[in-house]
Amino acid sequence: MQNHNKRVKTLSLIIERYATVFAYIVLFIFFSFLAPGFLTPYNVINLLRQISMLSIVTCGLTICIIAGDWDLSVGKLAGLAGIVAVSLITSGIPTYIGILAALGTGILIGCINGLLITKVGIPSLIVTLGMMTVCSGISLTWTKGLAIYKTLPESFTFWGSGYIGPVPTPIYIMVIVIFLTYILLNKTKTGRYIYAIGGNKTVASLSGIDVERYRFMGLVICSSLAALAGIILMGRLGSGQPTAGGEFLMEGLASVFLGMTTIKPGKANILGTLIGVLIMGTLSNGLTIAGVPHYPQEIVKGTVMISAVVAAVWKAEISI
Amino acid sequence: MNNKTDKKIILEMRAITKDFPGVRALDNVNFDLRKGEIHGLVGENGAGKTTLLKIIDGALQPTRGEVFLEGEKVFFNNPREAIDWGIGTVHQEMNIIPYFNAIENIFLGRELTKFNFIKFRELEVKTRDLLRDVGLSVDIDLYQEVKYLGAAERKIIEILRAINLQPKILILDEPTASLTIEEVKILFNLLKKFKKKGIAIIFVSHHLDEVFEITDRITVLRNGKKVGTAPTSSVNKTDLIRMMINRDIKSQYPKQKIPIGKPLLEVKGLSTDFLDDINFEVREGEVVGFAGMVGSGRTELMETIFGAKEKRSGEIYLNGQKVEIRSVKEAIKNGLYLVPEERREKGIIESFSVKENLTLSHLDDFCNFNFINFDKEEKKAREIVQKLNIETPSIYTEAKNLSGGNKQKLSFGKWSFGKGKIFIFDEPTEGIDVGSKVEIYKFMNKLVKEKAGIILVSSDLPELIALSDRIYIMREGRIVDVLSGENITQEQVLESAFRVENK
Ligand SMILES: Nc1ncnc2c1ncn2[C@@H]1O[C@H](COP(=O)(O)OP(=O)(O)OP(=O)(O)O)[C@@H](O)[C@H]1O
Ligand SMILES: [Mg+2]
Repeated sequence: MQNHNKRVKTLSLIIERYATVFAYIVLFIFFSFLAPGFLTPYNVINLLRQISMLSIVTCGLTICIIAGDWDLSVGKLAGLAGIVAVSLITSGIPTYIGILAALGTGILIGCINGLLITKVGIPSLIVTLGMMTVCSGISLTWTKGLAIYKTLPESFTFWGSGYIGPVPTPIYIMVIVIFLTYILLNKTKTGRYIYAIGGNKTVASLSGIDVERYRFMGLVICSSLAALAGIILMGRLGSGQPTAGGEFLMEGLASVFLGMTTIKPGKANILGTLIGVLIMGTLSNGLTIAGVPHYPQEIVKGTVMISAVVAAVWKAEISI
Repeated sequence: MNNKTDKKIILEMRAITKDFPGVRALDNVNFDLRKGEIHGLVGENGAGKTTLLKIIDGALQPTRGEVFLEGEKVFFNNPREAIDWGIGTVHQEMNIIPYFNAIENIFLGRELTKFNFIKFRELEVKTRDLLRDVGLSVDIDLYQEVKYLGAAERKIIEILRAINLQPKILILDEPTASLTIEEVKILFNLLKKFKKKGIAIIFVSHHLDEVFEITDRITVLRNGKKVGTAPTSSVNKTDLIRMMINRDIKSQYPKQKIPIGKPLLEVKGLSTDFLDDINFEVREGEVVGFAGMVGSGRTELMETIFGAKEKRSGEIYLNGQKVEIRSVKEAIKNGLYLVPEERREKGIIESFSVKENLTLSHLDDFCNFNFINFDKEEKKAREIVQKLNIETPSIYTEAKNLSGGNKQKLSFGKWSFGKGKIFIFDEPTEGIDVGSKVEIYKFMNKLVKEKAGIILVSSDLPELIALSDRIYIMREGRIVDVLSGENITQEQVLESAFRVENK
C-alpha cells in the first residue's frame, strides 16, 4: 500500500511515449532545411490540404481498428463514391443530390460490410478485401475505365479546391471530422464501448455491451468517411478518376500503426493517428519538393509503414 | 530428506529487487530452494509472489540482485534460457494456445519431427503415456481445441506441459485455483512423486490448508519484502496468516443467517443443448450454492440465466413474473448480475485501466447523453478500489499490470454496485488472499441483508459449505441432488457430485 503514491516517471517512459512525435519534428526540421519552399505559409497550407482527405479516411479506419475490425475497402470506396458524385452531377443532376448519393453509397457499402461481418460472421479482413475489389470493379465498369472530364459546377469543386476566407474548404472539413472523432472516442460511452470490444469481445458482451451493434456502427462510420474523402478528392481533381483513392488504404493503415506507437502506446488512438497522417503527408510533400520522383516515394512510404508496425509491436507487445 | 544430496541448495536468490513503473514489487528479497523439497510461497495479493517466480523462470529480469543455480551465477534473458536450464513453470494466468489441441499444447516447442513434419501419432502415444504416468483418470479430449475445454482441464494441460520438460525445478503459481478437490489430490500425489525424484518445487496457493498439507518449508512475502522462511512443521495457520497480513482473522467464514424472504428467481424446466430440465429457486436473503465436477454444467447454467447463452426451453421468473432474458443487457436491467469465472477471458479487459474496467458494466450511470462524466466515474472507481482494497498504483493503471488476485477483485468489483438483486458469483474468490476473501464474504453478507439473493458457484468446498444456505449438486448437465441444513459435509457434497451413473 505504501507504493501507491510513488510515481516513478522515468525519462525512458516519456521517450517511449513520444518517440514518434519527436520523429515527426525531426522530419519537419529536416525538410525545412533540405527542401527550399517547404517551410512557407503557402506550402504548409498546401500540406494541410493534401492530408485532409487522408485524415478523414483514417479517422474512420481508426474507429474500425480500435473495435478490432479491418476495413480494406476504404480506398476503392472513396474512388467509387467520387465517381458516383461526378457522373451524376455531370449528367445534370443537382450537386447536392450527387453528393448525397455518394455519401449514400458509402453508407450502403458500410452496411453490407457490417452485415456480412457481424451477422453472417465472416472475418472483416475477408469481407472488406472482397468489397475493395467490388468497389473498384464498379467504378471501372461504370466509367469503362475512362476518366470523366466534363466541367464540374463550382458548387461541387468547392468541396475539394474551394476556399472559405484564406483557408481551403477541405481543411475545415478535416478539422470538424477529427474533432468529432476525438470526442466520440474519448468522451462518450460509444467510444468506451468500441475500445472495450477491441480489448476483449467476450468481456464486453458479458458486461452488457451489444458488441455486434457497435462493430456495425464502426464499419458504417468508416465507409461514410471514406465516401466523404472521395467527394473531396474528385472535387479537388475536378474530374472523375476511376482509379483514384486507392492509396488511402496503405497510407491510412500506416498512419494508424504509426499512431499506435505514441500517445497511448499499444492502442489505436486518434491523436496518434494524426501524427501518423502528418508523417505520411509530410513525407509525400517534402520528398516531392525535394525533387524525389513519385515511384521512389512509394518505397519510402512502404518502408515507413513496416517500421511503424515493427515499432508498435516491439514497444507495446501488441499483435496485429 | 535423509539423503545428503537432498539437502543441497539448488536455487539461491540474493537481495532481489524488482521495480515496475510506480511500484517496487520486490524489495531486497533473499530466497533459497533445496533439491527434493516442496517450498510454499505465500502472501497477500500483490505481495510479489508471481514477480519472484517470473524472475526465476526468465520472464522478468531483476532490477538488482543475483540468482544462483547449483552454485553458479546465472542471468536469464528470456524464458527459453530458463527452460533449457531445466526450469518448468505453470503460470498463474492461463498460458496456453486456445486454438491448439491438448497434444499440440503439451508439446509446444518440443514437437517430435521428422524432416520438419510433426509426428502426430507418436505425440499422441506419448501424451497418453504421460497421462497414465501421472495417474490422471480425467478424460480429456486430446484432439479438441483447448478453448472448448474447462478451466480445470486447461490447467491440467499446462501442468502436463511443464512436467513434460522433466525440469529440475518446477514452479507452480496457484495451480490449484481452478481445480476441484479430486484433481488437487492427483496433483499432490504427483508432486510427492517428483519430490522423491529430487525435483525442487515451488508451490504458491492462497489455500493455506493445501500449503500445510504439501510443503516442507514456507516463505512469506508481504508488500514485496520477505517476512521469513520456516519449516512447515514449525508454524500453524494463525501464525502464518499473521505473517502474511500482519493482523488476525477472527472468522474465516463470517456467515450471517438472514431471514429468508420471497422468491427472487425461479428457474423451471430449463434446457439447452447440454443442460437438462433444470429447476431451482433463489429467495431474498439466501445464498444458494452450486457444486459439481468440472464440466458438470454450472457455468453454462449461469451464463444461460444471464442471457449470454441461448436456452432451448424452460421458463425464468423474476419476483414471480415470467421474463424472457434474451441478452446480457436485459439481464442487467432486471437486476441480474454475473461475476464470471476466468477473469482474463471473461471478467476484465486487460488493456483497460482499473477505472475503465470497474465502470464498464454500469457506464450508463456515469453518462449524460452518451457523454461520460469523468469526475463521477473516477470517484466511483476510487471508492471501489478502497472498499475492496485493490492494490494498484492508481486507478489509471492498466489492468494487465495488476497481480492475479487484484485482477480478480476488479472482476468482482465491477459488479459490486448498482441495482443488482440477484448476484451470480462464479468462482468469485479464485486467487484471492485470505484477508480479502473475508472482505468479499462480508460484502456478500451485506448484499443478502439488503434482500438480494446470491448464487454461488465455487470449487472451494469449505467456502461453499460455509456460505450456502442450500447446495444444489450438478452432474452432466442436470441437478442431481440438493443438500441443506446446518451440517453439510465435504464428503456428502463430493459423494453426490462424483457418484458414477450406473444405469
Ligand atoms: N508488469 C507489471 N507492471 C507494473 N506493475 C506490476 C507488473 N507486474 C506486477 N506488478 C505489480 O507488482 C506487485 C506484485 O505483483 P505480483 O503479481 O508479484 O503479486 P502476487 O504476490 O503474485 O499476487 P497474487 O496473489 O494476486 O497473484 C503488484 O503491486 C503489481 O501491481
Ligand atoms: Mg500472483
